[in-house]
Amino acid sequence: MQDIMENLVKLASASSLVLVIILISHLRKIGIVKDFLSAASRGFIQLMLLSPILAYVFFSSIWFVYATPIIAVMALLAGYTSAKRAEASGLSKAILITTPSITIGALFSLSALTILKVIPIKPEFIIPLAGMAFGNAMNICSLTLTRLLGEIKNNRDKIEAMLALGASSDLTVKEFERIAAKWALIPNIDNLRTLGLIFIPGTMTGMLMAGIAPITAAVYQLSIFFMIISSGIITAVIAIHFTRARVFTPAHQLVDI
Amino acid sequence: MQMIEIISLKKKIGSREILKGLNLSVKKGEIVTIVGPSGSGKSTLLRCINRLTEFDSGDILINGVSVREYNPLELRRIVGIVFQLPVMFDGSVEDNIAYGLRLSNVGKEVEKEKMIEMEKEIKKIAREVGIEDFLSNEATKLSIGEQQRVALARALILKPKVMLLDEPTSALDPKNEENIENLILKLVKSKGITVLWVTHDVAQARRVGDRVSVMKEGRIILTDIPEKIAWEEVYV
Ligand SMILES: Nc1ncnc2c1ncn2[C@@H]1O[C@H](COP(=O)(O)OP(=O)(O)OP(=O)(O)O)[C@@H](O)[C@H]1O
Ligand SMILES: [Mg+2]
Repeated sequence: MQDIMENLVKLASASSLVLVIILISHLRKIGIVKDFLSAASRGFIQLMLLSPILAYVFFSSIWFVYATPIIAVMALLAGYTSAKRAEASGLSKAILITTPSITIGALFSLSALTILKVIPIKPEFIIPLAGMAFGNAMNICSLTLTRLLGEIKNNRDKIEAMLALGASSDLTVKEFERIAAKWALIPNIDNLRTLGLIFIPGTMTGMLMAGIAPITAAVYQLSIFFMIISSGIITAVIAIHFTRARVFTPAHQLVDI
Repeated sequence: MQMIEIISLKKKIGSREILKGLNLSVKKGEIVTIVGPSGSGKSTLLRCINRLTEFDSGDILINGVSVREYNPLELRRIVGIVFQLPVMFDGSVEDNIAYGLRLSNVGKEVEKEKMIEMEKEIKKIAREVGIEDFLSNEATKLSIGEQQRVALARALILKPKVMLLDEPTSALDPKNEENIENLILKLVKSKGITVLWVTHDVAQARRVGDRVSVMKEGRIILTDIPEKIAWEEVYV
Protein backbone atom coordinates (compact mmCIF):
# COMPACT_ATOMS: atom_id res chain seq x y z
CA MET A 1 0.00 0.00 0.00
CA GLN A 2 2.81 2.32 1.00
CA ASP A 3 4.40 1.43 -2.35
CA ILE A 4 1.35 2.32 -4.41
CA MET A 5 0.91 5.62 -2.57
CA GLU A 6 4.53 6.51 -3.13
CA ASN A 7 4.21 5.71 -6.85
CA LEU A 8 1.10 7.80 -7.22
CA VAL A 9 2.76 10.79 -5.59
CA LYS A 10 5.70 10.46 -7.94
CA LEU A 11 3.40 10.25 -10.93
CA ALA A 12 1.51 13.34 -9.82
CA SER A 13 4.74 15.27 -9.33
CA ALA A 14 6.07 14.26 -12.72
CA SER A 15 2.80 15.38 -14.26
CA SER A 16 3.65 18.97 -13.38
CA LEU A 17 5.78 18.82 -16.54
CA VAL A 18 2.57 18.21 -18.47
CA LEU A 19 1.50 21.71 -17.45
CA VAL A 20 4.72 23.05 -18.94
CA ILE A 21 3.93 21.31 -22.22
CA ILE A 22 0.38 22.65 -22.31
CA LEU A 23 1.43 26.16 -21.35
CA ILE A 24 4.15 26.43 -23.96
CA SER A 25 2.03 24.90 -26.68
CA HIS A 26 -0.75 27.33 -25.84
CA LEU A 27 1.42 30.44 -25.58
CA ARG A 28 3.40 29.73 -28.72
CA LYS A 29 0.33 28.41 -30.58
CA ILE A 30 2.09 25.18 -31.48
CA GLY A 31 -1.26 23.45 -31.44
CA ILE A 32 -0.30 20.11 -29.99
CA VAL A 33 -2.36 20.25 -26.78
CA LYS A 34 -5.16 18.08 -28.08
CA ASP A 35 -2.80 15.62 -29.71
CA PHE A 36 -0.61 15.54 -26.65
CA LEU A 37 -3.39 15.08 -24.11
CA SER A 38 -5.00 12.23 -26.01
CA ALA A 39 -1.59 10.60 -26.46
CA ALA A 40 -0.71 11.09 -22.80
CA SER A 41 -3.94 9.61 -21.51
CA ARG A 42 -3.62 6.69 -23.91
CA GLY A 43 -0.05 6.15 -22.78
CA PHE A 44 -1.11 6.26 -19.15
CA ILE A 45 -3.90 3.72 -19.53
CA GLN A 46 -1.74 1.44 -21.68
CA LEU A 47 1.08 1.35 -19.15
CA MET A 48 -1.28 0.81 -16.23
CA LEU A 49 -2.78 -2.14 -18.05
CA LEU A 50 0.58 -3.45 -19.14
CA SER A 51 2.30 -3.49 -15.74
CA PRO A 52 0.23 -6.22 -14.13
CA ILE A 53 0.22 -8.24 -17.35
CA LEU A 54 4.00 -8.08 -17.54
CA ALA A 55 4.33 -8.99 -13.87
CA TYR A 56 2.26 -12.09 -14.55
CA VAL A 57 3.91 -13.08 -17.82
CA PHE A 58 7.47 -12.67 -16.53
CA PHE A 59 6.93 -15.26 -13.84
CA SER A 60 4.88 -17.68 -15.91
CA SER A 61 6.51 -20.92 -17.09
CA ILE A 62 4.58 -20.75 -20.37
CA TRP A 63 5.46 -17.11 -21.00
CA PHE A 64 6.02 -17.65 -24.73
CA VAL A 65 2.35 -18.55 -25.08
CA TYR A 66 1.55 -15.06 -23.86
CA ALA A 67 4.42 -13.39 -25.68
CA THR A 68 3.05 -14.28 -29.12
CA PRO A 69 -0.23 -12.36 -28.81
CA ILE A 70 1.58 -9.51 -27.04
CA ILE A 71 3.96 -9.15 -29.97
CA ALA A 72 1.09 -9.49 -32.43
CA VAL A 73 -0.70 -6.64 -30.69
CA MET A 74 2.47 -4.54 -30.84
CA ALA A 75 2.72 -5.19 -34.57
CA LEU A 76 -0.89 -4.26 -35.23
CA LEU A 77 -0.80 -1.15 -33.07
CA ALA A 78 2.46 0.04 -34.55
CA GLY A 79 1.13 -0.60 -38.06
CA TYR A 80 -2.10 1.20 -37.28
CA THR A 81 -0.41 4.23 -35.71
CA SER A 82 2.03 4.64 -38.56
CA ALA A 83 -0.72 4.11 -41.13
CA LYS A 84 -2.65 7.05 -39.67
CA ARG A 85 0.31 9.30 -40.42
CA ALA A 86 0.77 7.94 -43.91
CA GLU A 87 -2.94 8.27 -44.64
CA ALA A 88 -2.85 11.90 -43.56
CA SER A 89 -0.21 12.30 -46.28
CA GLY A 90 -2.53 10.79 -48.84
CA LEU A 91 -1.73 7.09 -48.91
CA SER A 92 -4.93 5.08 -48.75
CA LYS A 93 -5.06 1.69 -47.03
CA ALA A 94 -1.64 2.47 -45.60
CA ILE A 95 -1.99 -0.21 -42.95
CA LEU A 96 -1.36 -2.80 -45.66
CA ILE A 97 2.06 -1.23 -46.11
CA THR A 98 3.00 -0.19 -42.59
CA THR A 99 2.13 -3.37 -40.69
CA PRO A 100 4.17 -5.79 -42.79
CA SER A 101 7.11 -3.37 -43.12
CA ILE A 102 7.30 -2.76 -39.39
CA THR A 103 6.78 -6.42 -38.49
CA ILE A 104 9.43 -7.72 -40.85
CA GLY A 105 11.92 -5.03 -39.77
CA ALA A 106 11.38 -5.49 -36.05
CA LEU A 107 11.24 -9.27 -36.02
CA PHE A 108 14.29 -9.64 -38.23
CA SER A 109 16.60 -7.74 -35.90
CA LEU A 110 15.08 -9.17 -32.76
CA SER A 111 15.52 -12.71 -34.08
CA ALA A 112 19.07 -11.95 -35.15
CA LEU A 113 20.03 -10.89 -31.63
CA THR A 114 18.45 -13.94 -30.04
CA ILE A 115 19.93 -16.36 -32.56
CA LEU A 116 23.35 -14.78 -32.00
CA LYS A 117 22.74 -15.23 -28.29
CA VAL A 118 23.30 -11.55 -27.56
CA ILE A 119 20.07 -11.52 -25.65
CA PRO A 120 18.75 -14.50 -23.71
CA ILE A 121 15.43 -16.05 -24.55
CA LYS A 122 13.68 -14.78 -21.46
CA PRO A 123 10.42 -12.83 -21.31
CA GLU A 124 11.93 -9.92 -19.41
CA PHE A 125 14.32 -9.45 -22.34
CA ILE A 126 12.23 -10.45 -25.32
CA ILE A 127 9.09 -8.49 -24.54
CA PRO A 128 10.56 -5.08 -23.72
CA LEU A 129 13.06 -5.39 -26.57
CA ALA A 130 10.28 -6.28 -28.97
CA GLY A 131 8.56 -3.15 -27.74
CA MET A 132 11.62 -1.06 -28.56
CA ALA A 133 12.08 -2.64 -31.96
CA PHE A 134 8.43 -2.19 -32.92
CA GLY A 135 8.26 1.30 -31.47
CA ASN A 136 11.31 2.48 -33.34
CA ALA A 137 10.31 0.73 -36.56
CA MET A 138 6.95 2.46 -36.25
CA ASN A 139 8.59 5.87 -35.99
CA ILE A 140 10.92 5.19 -38.88
CA CYS A 141 8.00 3.98 -40.96
CA SER A 142 5.96 7.12 -40.24
CA LEU A 143 8.88 9.44 -40.91
CA THR A 144 9.88 7.65 -44.11
CA LEU A 145 6.39 7.59 -45.56
CA THR A 146 5.40 11.16 -44.65
CA ARG A 147 8.62 12.50 -46.11
CA LEU A 148 8.44 10.31 -49.21
CA LEU A 149 4.81 11.19 -49.93
CA GLY A 150 5.53 14.86 -49.28
CA GLU A 151 8.47 14.83 -51.70
CA ILE A 152 6.40 13.08 -54.35
CA LYS A 153 3.56 15.57 -53.97
CA ASN A 154 5.88 18.56 -54.12
CA ASN A 155 7.73 17.16 -57.10
CA ARG A 156 4.80 15.90 -59.15
CA ASP A 157 5.70 18.13 -62.09
CA LYS A 158 9.32 17.08 -62.03
CA ILE A 159 8.46 13.39 -61.80
CA GLU A 160 6.03 13.69 -64.70
CA ALA A 161 8.58 15.65 -66.73
CA MET A 162 10.99 12.74 -66.27
CA LEU A 163 8.34 10.14 -67.10
CA ALA A 164 7.47 12.15 -70.20
CA LEU A 165 11.05 11.71 -71.42
CA GLY A 166 10.81 7.95 -71.08
CA ALA A 167 12.18 7.52 -67.55
CA SER A 168 10.87 4.53 -65.60
CA SER A 169 8.83 5.23 -62.50
CA ASP A 170 11.54 3.68 -60.30
CA LEU A 171 14.13 6.08 -61.61
CA THR A 172 12.03 9.20 -61.12
CA VAL A 173 11.55 8.66 -57.37
CA LYS A 174 14.91 7.15 -56.50
CA GLU A 175 16.22 10.47 -55.27
CA PHE A 176 13.17 11.09 -53.06
CA GLU A 177 13.30 7.59 -51.60
CA ARG A 178 16.88 8.11 -50.61
CA ILE A 179 16.07 11.47 -49.02
CA ALA A 180 13.13 10.01 -47.10
CA ALA A 181 15.00 7.01 -45.69
CA LYS A 182 18.02 9.06 -44.75
CA TRP A 183 15.91 11.68 -43.07
CA ALA A 184 13.92 9.12 -41.11
CA LEU A 185 17.10 7.59 -39.72
CA ILE A 186 18.63 10.89 -38.58
CA PRO A 187 17.28 10.78 -35.00
CA ASN A 188 18.59 7.22 -34.55
CA ILE A 189 21.98 7.99 -35.99
CA ASP A 190 22.35 11.18 -33.97
CA ASN A 191 21.38 9.36 -30.79
CA LEU A 192 24.01 6.78 -31.57
CA ARG A 193 26.60 9.45 -32.25
CA THR A 194 26.02 11.21 -28.93
CA LEU A 195 25.47 8.01 -27.02
CA GLY A 196 26.78 8.42 -23.50
CA LEU A 197 27.71 12.06 -24.07
CA ILE A 198 24.35 13.77 -24.16
CA PHE A 199 22.05 10.89 -24.28
CA ILE A 200 21.98 7.96 -21.88
CA PRO A 201 19.10 6.04 -23.37
CA GLY A 202 16.28 4.11 -21.78
CA THR A 203 17.75 0.69 -21.42
CA MET A 204 21.02 1.85 -20.01
CA THR A 205 19.34 4.30 -17.68
CA GLY A 206 17.09 1.54 -16.45
CA MET A 207 19.93 -0.91 -15.96
CA LEU A 208 22.10 1.66 -14.19
CA MET A 209 19.23 2.62 -11.94
CA ALA A 210 18.71 -1.06 -11.16
CA GLY A 211 22.39 -1.35 -10.15
CA ILE A 212 23.84 -3.36 -13.09
CA ALA A 213 27.55 -2.91 -13.90
CA PRO A 214 27.96 0.03 -16.33
CA ILE A 215 30.00 -2.05 -18.82
CA THR A 216 27.28 -4.70 -19.06
CA ALA A 217 24.67 -1.99 -19.43
CA ALA A 218 26.78 -0.37 -22.16
CA VAL A 219 27.08 -3.59 -24.18
CA TYR A 220 23.34 -4.15 -24.03
CA GLN A 221 22.68 -0.59 -24.98
CA LEU A 222 24.89 -0.75 -28.05
CA SER A 223 23.39 -4.05 -29.13
CA ILE A 224 19.96 -2.58 -28.76
CA PHE A 225 20.92 0.42 -30.82
CA PHE A 226 22.14 -1.80 -33.60
CA MET A 227 18.93 -3.76 -33.33
CA ILE A 228 16.64 -0.77 -33.57
CA ILE A 229 18.58 0.91 -36.35
CA SER A 230 18.78 -2.25 -38.43
CA SER A 231 15.08 -2.89 -37.91
CA GLY A 232 14.45 0.74 -38.83
CA ILE A 233 16.38 0.60 -42.08
CA ILE A 234 14.75 -2.68 -43.10
CA THR A 235 11.34 -1.20 -42.33
CA ALA A 236 12.13 1.94 -44.33
CA VAL A 237 13.28 -0.01 -47.38
CA ILE A 238 10.26 -2.30 -47.38
CA ALA A 239 7.82 0.55 -46.83
CA ILE A 240 9.41 2.49 -49.69
CA HIS A 241 9.18 -0.51 -51.97
CA PHE A 242 5.49 -1.08 -51.26
CA THR A 243 4.72 2.62 -51.58
CA ARG A 244 6.31 2.84 -55.00
CA ALA A 245 3.97 0.14 -56.22
CA ARG A 246 1.05 2.21 -54.93
CA VAL A 247 1.91 5.65 -56.28
CA PHE A 248 2.62 4.37 -59.77
CA THR A 249 0.60 2.19 -62.09
CA PRO A 250 2.36 -0.58 -64.02
CA ALA A 251 2.25 1.77 -67.04
CA HIS A 252 4.54 4.20 -65.19
CA GLN A 253 1.80 6.70 -64.42
CA LEU A 254 1.92 8.73 -61.23
CA VAL A 255 -1.45 8.42 -59.51
CA ASP A 256 -3.11 11.19 -57.53
CA ILE A 257 -2.18 11.08 -53.86
CA MET B 1 -2.19 8.83 -93.31
CA GLN B 2 -3.40 9.76 -89.81
CA MET B 3 -0.61 10.14 -87.26
CA ILE B 4 -2.92 10.66 -84.31
CA GLU B 5 -6.38 9.21 -84.19
CA ILE B 6 -8.56 9.71 -81.15
CA ILE B 7 -11.75 7.72 -81.06
CA SER B 8 -14.62 8.39 -78.58
CA LEU B 9 -12.18 9.02 -75.79
CA LYS B 10 -13.68 9.09 -72.32
CA LYS B 11 -12.14 9.80 -68.99
CA LYS B 12 -13.49 10.38 -65.53
CA ILE B 13 -11.61 11.94 -62.66
CA GLY B 14 -13.35 10.89 -59.47
CA SER B 15 -17.01 10.86 -60.45
CA ARG B 16 -16.68 13.74 -62.91
CA GLU B 17 -16.53 13.04 -66.61
CA ILE B 18 -13.71 15.17 -67.99
CA LEU B 19 -13.52 13.77 -71.52
CA LYS B 20 -16.90 12.80 -72.89
CA GLY B 21 -16.32 10.81 -76.05
CA LEU B 22 -13.80 12.94 -77.88
CA ASN B 23 -12.84 12.41 -81.52
CA LEU B 24 -9.95 13.96 -83.39
CA SER B 25 -7.54 13.00 -86.18
CA VAL B 26 -4.26 14.65 -87.04
CA LYS B 27 -2.43 13.93 -90.27
CA LYS B 28 1.28 13.24 -90.42
CA GLY B 29 3.23 16.50 -90.33
CA GLU B 30 0.15 18.55 -89.54
CA ILE B 31 -0.18 21.12 -86.73
CA VAL B 32 -3.57 21.10 -85.06
CA THR B 33 -4.20 23.72 -82.41
CA ILE B 34 -6.76 23.24 -79.68
CA VAL B 35 -8.54 26.17 -78.08
CA GLY B 36 -11.21 26.03 -75.45
CA PRO B 37 -12.23 27.38 -72.09
CA SER B 38 -10.24 26.68 -68.97
CA GLY B 39 -11.26 23.34 -67.49
CA SER B 40 -12.58 21.94 -70.77
CA GLY B 41 -10.08 19.09 -70.59
CA LYS B 42 -7.30 20.17 -72.96
CA SER B 43 -4.42 19.21 -70.68
CA THR B 44 -6.13 16.00 -69.70
CA LEU B 45 -6.46 15.08 -73.38
CA LEU B 46 -2.73 15.57 -74.01
CA ARG B 47 -1.84 13.56 -70.91
CA CYS B 48 -3.96 10.67 -72.18
CA ILE B 49 -2.11 10.64 -75.49
CA ASN B 50 1.32 9.97 -73.97
CA ARG B 51 -0.31 7.97 -71.18
CA LEU B 52 0.79 10.15 -68.30
CA THR B 53 -2.77 9.49 -67.27
CA GLU B 54 -5.06 6.59 -68.06
CA PHE B 55 -8.27 6.95 -70.05
CA ASP B 56 -11.38 4.89 -69.36
CA SER B 57 -12.67 3.99 -72.82
CA GLY B 58 -12.29 4.74 -76.49
CA ASP B 59 -8.86 4.60 -78.04
CA ILE B 60 -5.91 6.64 -79.19
CA LEU B 61 -3.89 5.44 -82.17
CA ILE B 62 -0.41 6.71 -82.88
CA ASN B 63 0.72 5.75 -86.38
CA GLY B 64 -2.17 3.29 -86.48
CA VAL B 65 -1.29 1.50 -83.24
CA SER B 66 -3.18 1.89 -79.97
CA VAL B 67 -1.15 3.70 -77.31
CA ARG B 68 -1.98 0.80 -75.02
CA GLU B 69 -0.05 -1.52 -77.29
CA TYR B 70 3.14 0.49 -76.93
CA ASN B 71 5.56 0.10 -74.08
CA PRO B 72 4.69 3.31 -72.23
CA LEU B 73 8.35 4.31 -71.90
CA GLU B 74 8.85 3.98 -75.64
CA LEU B 75 5.58 5.71 -76.42
CA ARG B 76 6.75 8.76 -74.49
CA ARG B 77 9.89 9.01 -76.57
CA ILE B 78 7.85 8.86 -79.77
CA VAL B 79 5.30 11.32 -78.39
CA GLY B 80 7.10 14.25 -76.77
CA ILE B 81 5.42 16.83 -74.57
CA VAL B 82 6.21 20.38 -73.50
CA PHE B 83 4.28 21.91 -70.63
CA GLN B 84 3.32 25.47 -69.85
CA LEU B 85 5.91 25.72 -67.09
CA PRO B 86 9.26 24.07 -67.79
CA VAL B 87 10.66 21.97 -64.96
CA MET B 88 14.43 21.82 -64.97
CA PHE B 89 16.25 18.88 -63.42
CA ASP B 90 19.25 19.46 -61.17
CA GLY B 91 22.47 19.80 -63.12
CA SER B 92 23.62 21.65 -66.19
CA VAL B 93 21.68 22.56 -69.30
CA GLU B 94 23.60 19.82 -71.05
CA ASP B 95 22.51 17.27 -68.43
CA ASN B 96 18.94 18.36 -68.97
CA ILE B 97 19.08 18.07 -72.73
CA ALA B 98 20.80 14.71 -72.48
CA TYR B 99 18.36 13.32 -69.89
CA GLY B 100 16.29 11.18 -72.23
CA LEU B 101 19.29 10.16 -74.34
CA ARG B 102 21.24 8.96 -71.33
CA LEU B 103 18.34 6.89 -69.95
CA SER B 104 19.25 3.97 -72.13
CA ASN B 105 22.79 4.07 -70.74
CA VAL B 106 21.94 4.09 -67.04
CA GLY B 107 24.29 1.69 -65.28
CA LYS B 108 26.14 0.81 -68.49
CA GLU B 109 29.58 1.47 -69.81
CA VAL B 110 29.19 3.72 -72.84
CA GLU B 111 31.55 3.38 -75.78
CA LYS B 112 33.57 6.37 -76.78
CA GLU B 113 32.04 6.69 -80.24
CA LYS B 114 28.55 6.75 -78.82
CA MET B 115 29.57 9.42 -76.34
CA ILE B 116 30.98 11.59 -79.11
CA GLU B 117 27.87 11.01 -81.16
CA MET B 118 25.69 12.10 -78.23
CA GLU B 119 27.82 15.19 -77.62
CA LYS B 120 27.31 16.17 -81.24
CA GLU B 121 23.56 15.74 -81.05
CA ILE B 122 23.36 17.79 -77.88
CA LYS B 123 25.35 20.63 -79.46
CA LYS B 124 23.24 20.49 -82.60
CA ILE B 125 19.90 20.68 -80.83
CA ALA B 126 21.20 23.34 -78.45
CA ARG B 127 22.16 25.43 -81.45
CA GLU B 128 18.77 24.88 -83.04
CA VAL B 129 16.91 26.16 -79.99
CA GLY B 130 19.44 28.92 -79.33
CA ILE B 131 20.99 27.87 -76.05
CA GLU B 132 24.39 26.71 -77.25
CA ASP B 133 26.09 29.33 -75.05
CA PHE B 134 24.44 28.05 -71.87
CA LEU B 135 25.30 24.36 -72.06
CA SER B 136 27.35 24.30 -68.87
CA ASN B 137 25.08 26.67 -66.92
CA GLU B 138 22.97 25.39 -64.08
CA ALA B 139 19.58 24.77 -65.67
CA THR B 140 17.41 25.89 -62.75
CA LYS B 141 19.04 29.32 -62.84
CA LEU B 142 17.97 30.12 -66.42
CA SER B 143 15.11 32.48 -67.22
CA ILE B 144 11.73 30.90 -67.95
CA GLY B 145 12.15 31.59 -71.65
CA GLU B 146 15.54 29.89 -71.71
CA GLN B 147 14.21 26.99 -69.66
CA GLN B 148 11.41 26.52 -72.15
CA ARG B 149 14.03 26.24 -74.90
CA VAL B 150 15.79 23.57 -72.85
CA ALA B 151 12.49 21.74 -72.38
CA LEU B 152 11.97 21.85 -76.11
CA ALA B 153 15.48 20.58 -76.83
CA ARG B 154 15.11 17.84 -74.23
CA ALA B 155 12.06 16.49 -76.02
CA LEU B 156 13.26 17.05 -79.60
CA ILE B 157 16.57 15.27 -79.11
CA LEU B 158 14.63 12.01 -78.76
CA LYS B 159 13.42 12.52 -82.37
CA PRO B 160 9.71 12.27 -81.57
CA LYS B 161 7.16 11.69 -84.33
CA VAL B 162 4.55 13.65 -82.39
CA MET B 163 4.83 16.69 -80.15
CA LEU B 164 2.17 17.65 -77.64
CA LEU B 165 2.40 21.29 -76.61
CA ASP B 166 0.39 22.45 -73.62
CA GLU B 167 0.35 26.26 -73.77
CA PRO B 168 4.12 26.31 -74.33
CA THR B 169 4.34 30.10 -74.65
CA SER B 170 1.76 31.31 -72.15
CA ALA B 171 4.21 31.75 -69.28
CA LEU B 172 6.45 33.97 -71.39
CA ASP B 173 6.63 37.70 -71.99
CA PRO B 174 5.36 38.88 -75.42
CA LYS B 175 8.83 39.06 -76.97
CA ASN B 176 9.76 35.56 -75.84
CA GLU B 177 6.33 34.31 -76.73
CA GLU B 178 6.82 35.36 -80.33
CA ASN B 179 10.37 34.01 -80.45
CA ILE B 180 9.49 30.61 -79.05
CA GLU B 181 6.37 30.34 -81.16
CA ASN B 182 8.41 30.92 -84.30
CA LEU B 183 11.13 28.61 -83.10
CA ILE B 184 8.68 25.76 -82.50
CA LEU B 185 7.05 26.30 -85.87
CA LYS B 186 10.37 26.26 -87.68
CA LEU B 187 11.63 23.16 -85.88
CA VAL B 188 8.54 20.99 -86.14
CA LYS B 189 8.01 21.87 -89.78
CA SER B 190 11.62 21.16 -90.71
CA LYS B 191 11.57 17.85 -88.86
CA GLY B 192 8.13 16.86 -90.12
CA ILE B 193 6.77 16.39 -86.63
CA THR B 194 3.04 16.07 -86.11
CA VAL B 195 1.82 18.54 -83.50
CA LEU B 196 -1.12 18.96 -81.18
CA TRP B 197 -0.81 22.45 -79.75
CA VAL B 198 -3.05 23.62 -76.92
CA THR B 199 -3.31 27.36 -76.48
CA HIS B 200 -5.71 29.76 -74.81
CA ASP B 201 -4.62 32.43 -77.27
CA VAL B 202 -7.05 32.30 -80.17
CA ALA B 203 -4.85 34.53 -82.31
CA GLN B 204 -1.98 32.10 -81.82
CA ALA B 205 -4.23 29.17 -82.65
CA ARG B 206 -5.07 30.81 -85.97
CA ARG B 207 -1.47 31.75 -86.68
CA VAL B 208 0.18 28.42 -86.11
CA GLY B 209 -2.52 25.84 -86.77
CA ASP B 210 -2.94 24.11 -90.10
CA ARG B 211 -6.30 23.33 -88.56
CA VAL B 212 -7.90 24.52 -85.37
CA SER B 213 -10.01 22.42 -83.01
CA VAL B 214 -12.41 23.98 -80.57
CA MET B 215 -12.87 22.08 -77.36
CA LYS B 216 -15.76 22.49 -74.97
CA GLU B 217 -16.76 20.49 -71.94
CA GLY B 218 -14.77 17.40 -72.78
CA ARG B 219 -15.53 17.29 -76.50
CA ILE B 220 -14.07 18.65 -79.71
CA ILE B 221 -17.03 20.55 -81.08
CA LEU B 222 -15.45 21.73 -84.29
CA THR B 223 -12.27 21.31 -86.31
CA ASP B 224 -11.43 23.25 -89.44
CA ILE B 225 -8.84 25.35 -91.21
CA PRO B 226 -8.52 28.78 -89.54
CA GLU B 227 -10.07 30.61 -92.50
CA LYS B 228 -13.29 28.64 -92.22
CA ILE B 229 -13.91 28.97 -88.52
CA ALA B 230 -16.60 31.37 -87.39
CA TRP B 231 -14.41 33.09 -84.83
CA GLU B 232 -17.19 35.24 -83.38
CA GLU B 233 -18.62 32.03 -81.99
CA VAL B 234 -15.35 30.73 -80.62
CA TYR B 235 -14.55 33.91 -78.71
CA VAL B 236 -17.62 33.67 -76.51
N1 LIG C 1 -5.80 15.34 -60.94
C1 LIG C 1 -7.00 15.91 -60.96
N2 LIG C 1 -7.85 15.79 -59.93
C2 LIG C 1 -9.07 16.35 -59.95
N3 LIG C 1 -9.53 17.06 -60.97
C3 LIG C 1 -8.73 17.24 -62.03
C4 LIG C 1 -7.43 16.67 -62.09
N4 LIG C 1 -6.88 17.00 -63.27
C5 LIG C 1 -7.78 17.73 -63.91
N5 LIG C 1 -8.92 17.88 -63.18
C6 LIG C 1 -10.13 18.63 -63.58
O1 LIG C 1 -10.45 18.27 -64.89
C7 LIG C 1 -10.91 19.39 -65.61
C8 LIG C 1 -10.11 19.53 -66.88
O2 LIG C 1 -8.78 19.87 -66.53
P1 LIG C 1 -7.69 20.24 -67.60
O3 LIG C 1 -6.46 20.58 -66.88
O4 LIG C 1 -7.62 19.15 -68.60
O5 LIG C 1 -8.34 21.53 -68.26
P2 LIG C 1 -7.70 22.51 -69.32
O6 LIG C 1 -8.66 22.57 -70.46
O7 LIG C 1 -6.31 22.14 -69.62
O8 LIG C 1 -7.75 23.91 -68.54
P3 LIG C 1 -6.71 25.12 -68.57
O9 LIG C 1 -7.01 25.90 -69.81
O10 LIG C 1 -7.07 25.92 -67.35
O11 LIG C 1 -5.34 24.57 -68.52
C9 LIG C 1 -10.79 20.58 -64.70
O12 LIG C 1 -12.06 20.89 -64.19
C10 LIG C 1 -9.89 20.11 -63.60
O13 LIG C 1 -10.25 20.69 -62.37
MG1 LIG D 1 -4.40 23.00 -69.17
